[in-house]
Amino acid sequence: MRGKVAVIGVGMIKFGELFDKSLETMVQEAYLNCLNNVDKGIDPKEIKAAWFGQWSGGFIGQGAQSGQSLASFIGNRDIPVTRLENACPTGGDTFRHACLGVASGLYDVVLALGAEKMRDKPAAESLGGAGGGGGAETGNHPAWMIGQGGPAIQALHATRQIYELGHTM
Amino acid sequence: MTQPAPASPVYWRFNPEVFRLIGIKCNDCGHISYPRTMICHECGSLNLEEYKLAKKGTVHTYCVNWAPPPNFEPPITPVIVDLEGGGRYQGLMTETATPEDVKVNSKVEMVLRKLITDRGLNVYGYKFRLVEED
Repeated sequence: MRGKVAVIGVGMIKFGELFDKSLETMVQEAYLNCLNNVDKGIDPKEIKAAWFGQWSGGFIGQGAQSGQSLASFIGNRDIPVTRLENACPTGGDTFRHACLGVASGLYDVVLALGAEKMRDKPAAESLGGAGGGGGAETGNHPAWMIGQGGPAIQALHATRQIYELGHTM
Repeated sequence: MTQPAPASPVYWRFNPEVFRLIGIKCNDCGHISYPRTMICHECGSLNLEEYKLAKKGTVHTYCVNWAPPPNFEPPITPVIVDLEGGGRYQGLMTETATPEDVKVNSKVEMVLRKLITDRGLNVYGYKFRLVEED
């Protein structure tokens, strides 16, 4: 594979609880922001494949979508979509696979998009329940799973980083 | 992550880890893997022997959780502890007057405590408490 890959447009929406927005609305707003960000514009039908990153839809209330739902959300039902779920690295890995799609020469233009609808469940389930985080050990040890959760595990990392590198909050 | 139900087979399967602190030491690179494993997580070696973790150590990192999972009263203080002789253990602090007493490098020791009461069943395991500095 010798193909070079370029990011030609990016789009994001403001993060928040967003009780008034559905997963579809969030996806569509980010997607339209991305299209509008492309220099000199783009015909959306040039997008020939997509990767849909979701940390874990089933756990946190948005439902485990198929990748193909993204194709419907963006009105481009003919394209293949892979839904990619890979814990915290989901976003980076989704982007990596989209890059491989172009670098391989299979596609000229692809979409990488990630979305999480986290707050349709109570915080104890959506935030506390979220995140294995600790990797191979934590997810294996029953006592280590008690009283943890994604935010706590990230906070443990942050404390150590502040200690070692002198960062401030 | 989701906490396992108290009747989950995971407690039976990991009984040697949870109550006797049995892990693995790599005879090639010296890395201590815990829970036990057939392949050293650090170097991939199969040349391993069982290793019992020490119950004392120092706090590697900590945080204060004011929004803990169900069945906990906030705040709780998760810690990761570097154990004497090697290996790390992740758990919760107990018997602290305030969470602010816990710092990186605080000396701690394991004590057997009730971790949680869930669906009418008690789950036991090790927690950490501060030890007096000499």
